[in-house]
Amino acid sequence: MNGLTLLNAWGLLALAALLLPLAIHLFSRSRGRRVLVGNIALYRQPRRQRVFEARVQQWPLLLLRLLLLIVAALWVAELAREQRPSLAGTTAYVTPDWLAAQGREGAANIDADRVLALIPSFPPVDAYVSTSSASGSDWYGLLAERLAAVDHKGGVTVYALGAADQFPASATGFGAGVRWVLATPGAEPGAEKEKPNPSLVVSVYHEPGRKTDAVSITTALALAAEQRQVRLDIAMTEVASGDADVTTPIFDQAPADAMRVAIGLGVNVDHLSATVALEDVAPGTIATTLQLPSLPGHRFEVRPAVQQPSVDAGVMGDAPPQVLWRADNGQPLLIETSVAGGRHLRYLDRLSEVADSPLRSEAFPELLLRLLLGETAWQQGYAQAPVDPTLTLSNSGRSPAVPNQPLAPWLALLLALLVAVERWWAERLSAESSQ
Amino acid sequence: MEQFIDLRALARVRDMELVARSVATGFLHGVQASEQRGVGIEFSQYRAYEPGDAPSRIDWKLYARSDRYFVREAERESETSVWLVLDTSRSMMLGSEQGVWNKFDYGRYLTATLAYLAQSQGDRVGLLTLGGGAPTLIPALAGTRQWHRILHSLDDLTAGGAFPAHENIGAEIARLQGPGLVILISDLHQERGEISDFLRLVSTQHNEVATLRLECNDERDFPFEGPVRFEDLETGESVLANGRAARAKYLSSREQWLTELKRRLSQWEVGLDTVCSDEPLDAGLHAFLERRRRGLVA
Repeated sequence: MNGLTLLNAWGLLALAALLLPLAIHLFSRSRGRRVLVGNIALYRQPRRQRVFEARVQQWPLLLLRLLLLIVAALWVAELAREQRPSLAGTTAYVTPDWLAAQGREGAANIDADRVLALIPSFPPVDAYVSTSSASGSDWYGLLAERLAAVDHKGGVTVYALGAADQFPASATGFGAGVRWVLATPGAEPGAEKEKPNPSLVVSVYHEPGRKTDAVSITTALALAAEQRQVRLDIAMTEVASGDADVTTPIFDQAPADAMRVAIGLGVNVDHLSATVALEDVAPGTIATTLQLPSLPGHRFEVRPAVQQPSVDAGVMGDAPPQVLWRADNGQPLLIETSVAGGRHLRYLDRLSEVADSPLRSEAFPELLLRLLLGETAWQQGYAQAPVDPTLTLSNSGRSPAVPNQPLAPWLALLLALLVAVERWWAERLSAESSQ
Repeated sequence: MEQFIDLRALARVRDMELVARSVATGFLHGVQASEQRGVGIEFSQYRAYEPGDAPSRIDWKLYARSDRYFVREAERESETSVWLVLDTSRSMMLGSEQGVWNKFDYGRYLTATLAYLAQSQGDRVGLLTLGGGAPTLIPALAGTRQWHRILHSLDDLTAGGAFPAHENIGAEIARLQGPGLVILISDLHQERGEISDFLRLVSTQHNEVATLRLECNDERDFPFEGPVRFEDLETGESVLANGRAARAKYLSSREQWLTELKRRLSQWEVGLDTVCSDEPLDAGLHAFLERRRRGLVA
């Protein structure tokens, strides 16, 4: 019962009363009341109308009586309609990454009665102080719950970054009532677009001897995409030479918005801003510095595993590095440091077929997707954050909580109507049968 | 008689003698202006002999004086033999669902009351019960002791079985064919015409036969609704029917049955009266006796 609730669920026990007319009907149908008579000959003639015929005539009446009891049970159970809090006027929701990219000035230009941030408690953007760079699609859950919990009387507009195109397939359930305004980083805000196709395009390039790693990466990505409900378009290409003169034209054949993953190639990534290189290089050498189109402002670095001392010393960052992933022997495999407001992720192992390869870890697909999408710990909190529409509305000061509306008067009216119909029907059947 | 004795009150007093006396006393003091009949023959007149008169009735002394045949006539006959025949078949166990008595109990008390009335008027009273078991026959005699014998016999009665075929009760039928009044108390429900045969054979030129047909309210009004399984008390046969739907057909069948019954009984000059077992004993009896007094019994 969408939108309906029972204030006294124990009242449904009254449904047990349904057994009574059912039992009476079935019992009487099979046997009939026993009446002793002295002269059975007088009763043979009336036998023309058999009991079965009479029972068939009374089946609709039985259904009506059952319905009557069901309504009575719902009345006892105090059926009520859930009153969703409503917001009048237009509402705009702003994703954190949009706010980080466009700033408060961009939010101020939004034409809406209220502009709320898509974070737990949905505060107005004025009260949302964090401006740290953020991305990801976890605010989708918040948006879905918000739309389900609050009856928006006016229009709803979502402001998000068009680059953050990691939309889950379930996002299509938002319906046509939601308008999307997707901004491109650096562009003027407010350019309305169609909701982007939720997809992730990945092109994997690998040396002839590293096909196993490429397959592992592909499989891990596919698995992670399935878990995160991201549509994944992935292509795997074998490149014979790592020379930039050879690889660059090949890489350029990939879609413009594709994420390029190079394995074992001596790639000069200066020419390829959207390439993740996972390769074996000499210890201590920064193999790759990359930027992903979907994660502006994020920088990823992949290094071999011999950088343990530098981890502790914080060579790569201003702040001490945070170990995101350790091997079984405690050796860091993935560390994150912050440098000048950007994130630096360093992969400290080589992709190989050794026994303790991270590719064999169950956590690797999710980790790889995080690496590519740039999900951070605080963003993950969206999914686990409790969303209480009453609380969030109260926090935003828009409208108070609304109690459920009891339907007892309507049920009583329906009950009386059913009783009247049942009586009329029963009398009519009796009159017909006695004729 | 405006105030009848309530059946429920009588049901609480299971003393048959007391009930019969109570019911009959009302008639003796009221409706039935009882007159004790003399034992002998009271002379009325002489009339000329007509062919067919018994030679024993010729007054030979008057013949000697007048040389003509005269027959001596009495104003009243001698005391009457009243035979009470009670149907004790199993169908008599029927009673209304809301009723107090079944027909069998009602019939027993009715028989006791009639016996009391008869013996109070000096009539000889006999009892015959016919049911599944062996017939019980108490020869007709007069007096209070006879009434007590009948009471004891009625008290020991149980209902069961079916009304016997006439071949099995030839001796009893022969006894009833003599002069007197035969009153059959029965529901007249029969499987193969055994009661009709009995009445046909009992009814002769010398006696008068009357039947008190017992019926209950449920038989008369057919108040049943919904699916009902009617089960015959004697045969066990059952018929399923819808109560409301079957009512009209039943009443029509019952009317036809009654009409046919009256027609056949009238052929044999057998009176038929109906008494409802859900009405007070004296009410049914009052109507019966009143009609007999006025000669209205069909």
